[in-house]
Amino acid sequence: MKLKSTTLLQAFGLLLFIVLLVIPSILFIFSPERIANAETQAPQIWDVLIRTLVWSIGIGLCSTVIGWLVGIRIASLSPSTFSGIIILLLMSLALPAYAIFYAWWQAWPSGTWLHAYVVKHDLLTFAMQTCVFIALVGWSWPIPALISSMSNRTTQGILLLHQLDEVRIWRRFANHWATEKKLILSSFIIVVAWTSTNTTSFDLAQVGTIGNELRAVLASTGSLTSVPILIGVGFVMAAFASICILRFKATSKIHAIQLRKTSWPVILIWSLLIGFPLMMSAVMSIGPESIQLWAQYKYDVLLSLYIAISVALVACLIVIVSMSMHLSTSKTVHGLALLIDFGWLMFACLPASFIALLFSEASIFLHADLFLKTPLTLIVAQIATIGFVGSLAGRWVASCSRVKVLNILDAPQSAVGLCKANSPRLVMAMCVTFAVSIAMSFGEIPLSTQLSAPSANQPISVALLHAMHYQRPEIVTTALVVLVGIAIMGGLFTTFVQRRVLVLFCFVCILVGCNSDVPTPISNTHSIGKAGTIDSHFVTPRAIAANDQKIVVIDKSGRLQLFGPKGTFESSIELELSGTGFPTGVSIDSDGNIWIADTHQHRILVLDQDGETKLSFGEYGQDEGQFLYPTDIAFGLDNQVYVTEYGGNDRVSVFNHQGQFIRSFGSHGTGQHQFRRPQSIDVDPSNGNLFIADSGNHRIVVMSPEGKVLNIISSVGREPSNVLYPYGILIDSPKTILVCEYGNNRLQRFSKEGVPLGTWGHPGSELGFLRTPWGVAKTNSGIVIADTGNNRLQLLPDMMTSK
Amino acid sequence: MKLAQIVISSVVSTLILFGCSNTNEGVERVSVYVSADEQIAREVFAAFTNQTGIHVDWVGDSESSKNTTLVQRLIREKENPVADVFWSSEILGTILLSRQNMFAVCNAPNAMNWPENHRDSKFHWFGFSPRARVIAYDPKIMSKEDLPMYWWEYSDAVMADPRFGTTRTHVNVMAAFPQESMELFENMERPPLYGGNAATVQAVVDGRATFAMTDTDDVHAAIRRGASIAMHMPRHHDQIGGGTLLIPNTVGVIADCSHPEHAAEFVNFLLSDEVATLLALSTSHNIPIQESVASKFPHLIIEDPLDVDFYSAASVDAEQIAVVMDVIAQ
Repeated sequence: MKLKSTTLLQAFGLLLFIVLLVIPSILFIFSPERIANAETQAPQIWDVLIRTLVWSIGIGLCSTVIGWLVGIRIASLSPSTFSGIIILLLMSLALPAYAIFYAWWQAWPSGTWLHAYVVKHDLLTFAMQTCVFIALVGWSWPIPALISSMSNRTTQGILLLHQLDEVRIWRRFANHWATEKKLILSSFIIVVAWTSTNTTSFDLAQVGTIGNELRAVLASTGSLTSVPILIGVGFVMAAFASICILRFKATSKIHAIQLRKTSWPVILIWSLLIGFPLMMSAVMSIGPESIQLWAQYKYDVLLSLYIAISVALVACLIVIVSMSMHLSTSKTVHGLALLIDFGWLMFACLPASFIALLFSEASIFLHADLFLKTPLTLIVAQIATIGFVGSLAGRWVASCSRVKVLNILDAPQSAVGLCKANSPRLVMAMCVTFAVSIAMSFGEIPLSTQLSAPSANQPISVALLHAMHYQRPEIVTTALVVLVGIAIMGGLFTTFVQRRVLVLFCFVCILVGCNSDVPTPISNTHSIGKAGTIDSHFVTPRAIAANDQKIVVIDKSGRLQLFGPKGTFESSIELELSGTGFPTGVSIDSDGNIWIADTHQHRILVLDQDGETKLSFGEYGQDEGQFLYPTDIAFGLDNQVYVTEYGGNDRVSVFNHQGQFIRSFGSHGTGQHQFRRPQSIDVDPSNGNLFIADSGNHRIVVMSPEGKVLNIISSVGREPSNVLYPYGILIDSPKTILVCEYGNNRLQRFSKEGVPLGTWGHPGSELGFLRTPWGVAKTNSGIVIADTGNNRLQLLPDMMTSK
Repeated sequence: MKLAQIVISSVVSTLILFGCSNTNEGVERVSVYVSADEQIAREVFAAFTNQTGIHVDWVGDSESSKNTTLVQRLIREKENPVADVFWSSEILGTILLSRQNMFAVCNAPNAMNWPENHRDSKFHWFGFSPRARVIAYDPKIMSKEDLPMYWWEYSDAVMADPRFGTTRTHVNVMAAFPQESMELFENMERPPLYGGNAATVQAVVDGRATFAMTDTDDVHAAIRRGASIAMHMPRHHDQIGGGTLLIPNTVGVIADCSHPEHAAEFVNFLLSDEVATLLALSTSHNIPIQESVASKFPHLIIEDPLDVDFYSAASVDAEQIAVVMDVIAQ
């Protein structure tokens, strides 16, 4: 009974294994086999198997050759560089393979010369398959590299001998093969097994392999009996890979060889296979839209973070229990430790569709809301597939011979004592496990898509998969940047971690998770309308204008609705239908006529107060007086009408009240006299200057009536004083302007000189919150805003006096 | 006490993250399993919450295994249902579930007045806002006049895996034309089966294929991305009622669900003019079936849709899919 608490720790390790892996497996075995449909056979099983083997072996060979050679170089590095490179490789493995494939596939989008060349020579399918081949080699070569580097650094000193004897290069390879062939073969088998069960990458590349064929059949039948061969092969591959991994032992003579060679070849290969495509993809797709997407998906990311941290914490626990079991002097415990390691590895190597089915059946068998209506089942399933990281890390801690000797000599009396005795190696292992588990959990797709509980948000990887299938690269790249960012943070974290940094990191998580800046609604607001197509209801109201007598709104159902200044519905006018869109801008002139920027009909339409058409001018084109997509109208002091437009012809055109063209200024671009989607315009009644919401450039441009730039209020972002997609602008007092920020879901007031005076609104659907507002106007009752995403208007009386 | 600090701070952060997650006790909720496009579904959920105050907890399905995973999940959960509502982007899975008595009667006002030809006779499920099956092609390469008139002439088209989604529905509907459809599949010469209809359209955009069998929403999505792509609606036969196949969205309340009232309210909302308008205006451009809404979208209306018996199509489902998979594998 000397090691009572360490024995308890070991028992806990066994319990964890039983609860997380054994019990779900037993429940699955005893759950009724449900075959919803007559069996849908995978019709080409042998084709699928052969194809899988050909691909896996090809990838395994390339990966092993590259990885093994790179591993030999890594073994020759100085200790600090060695650690850094090892962590880089671990973090690369934590990235999902499909991320690297997608980055390769997006690195030469249509429109580039390379894409044109490939299409011209009918090589697209070949190119896609090449991309997935390179991506999977890029993802998997760190496995043999890690094994090779550890092996070469800890064993015979063959590298030193080669250097001393100046052995020829081919002889060196022969020596390596002779002494390391078992390990080389093992790493080859590991890569082949892992590649063969890959689902998402092959799915995206339209290559039918075991992983995605199994997913397809299990999805349509829910029955294992329909594909016994595929399941059988999956088990055999997983068992082979698990045994190979367990056969590898990294011992502790970590500093035995120190040739201090340069690391640039390693960095070069990593950059070529992984870093370059990720960077290219990010550079081409990341823009202000990404901030917008972040706003849309941030709660999904937070849910993923919650799941990932839960998984990572249990993985860290597994490190401790695994270490304690491997350090045990009892042969029984040691044997159990090996069995448990094998179990974790099997679950990691089995096809994810099978694991998803197993945990789904087990949770249903338990009939508990805790498993069916919370993310717990997904968390447990992810632990089952990621737990091997902790298990191997614990094994690595225990593998240090000095640690073993010290443990025998000191014989720590308690679990805490055992952990203390093995620190800092244990802390290092836990940090690496924590970071790798977080990154793996974040990018995990097959389990997340099949085991997510109903919730207002889903793990971000689910959105990522949808976006990849629906060809929405902007979402994919943004999510991938988050993933890569997490992997990089994990790498830095494990490289430079100190206790205080760790605690700080946790607090950052807390701050991010809590979003402690609790958003407050705009006070004293009145809602006008709600979603619908009947009177005083809206479908995405966008164009808005007002004077002291009325409010005019046009929505995406093509209706112009008139309200009194306090929001009382008065009348509705059906506008001419457009198959492509509806007006985005409207203004009221001093006579009460309604001027509509009929965006998708490429014209300006003028209606009198009864809805009769008084004037229509403009047509599609880029010449003087023509429009591509007119967005808004404003009336100058000189009786002139200013019209903004976008679509490549981003400019301000000036007309008289009869619609005759006078002049235009501006063009598409980011320069001083250029615009990107000038969405709204207003005229300063005191001097006739133009205030233009240059939405795509995230700035407010102040111009003279002749088109001379007088001032630019520009600072893109989310902070107060920044603007993000300003879609509406209003000069609301002699000294101030109000900007309606579509991207930031708020109103912001500036002085006419551009000094920020305050913001109002946060994203949300409750009263006082805004969702993607398009326009702002002013009546004698208050400021009225088109709360577009919430399908309503909000009247803000207090904004009239806000300072 | 490094380890203690690590463990305590990590546990605290997790608990706080958990606590801060958006689970508000007391908030009224409804659970929806949905296989429609996630972005459009989110828009509808937001509008529903905005109108009723009921929050929607949802689970989606991946594009490639569209619908089938959720159908299997619902069957597995039959004894202890988690979902209150199943909103499917197609119909065969819904009929399959209906045959297993998975749905309860829904007597929401809009449901009770729903047209007979768009619902189950027992008010178990309701079809709305369909999409059309079309051929996608690149108008820069093919002129519309040169396009074959009948589906059976598109053996060089690529298609999604016929075991899933609307492709499965279409393949089963084609069983009503056994000779023509078998000829079509036999002539396909081992086509690569794509991971969803969007992927088939992308194959045409990329130049990997001349034609793609797909749905209107995927073509609209590609057009929105600026791709050179157009759609054509081949016929199944030359009689009246032999035109384009329309595949409706379907919705039903799950039997013995936890929130039947909220579920009925959600179904009522899905069958409203508001949602029909939202879906017609969405990137998917679904076809409204309510006359009041359809009159506003004349450009979406299909003149001569295919007369189809989805129950018969569902009856031949497994057999037909197995045959087709065998034929195209030859």
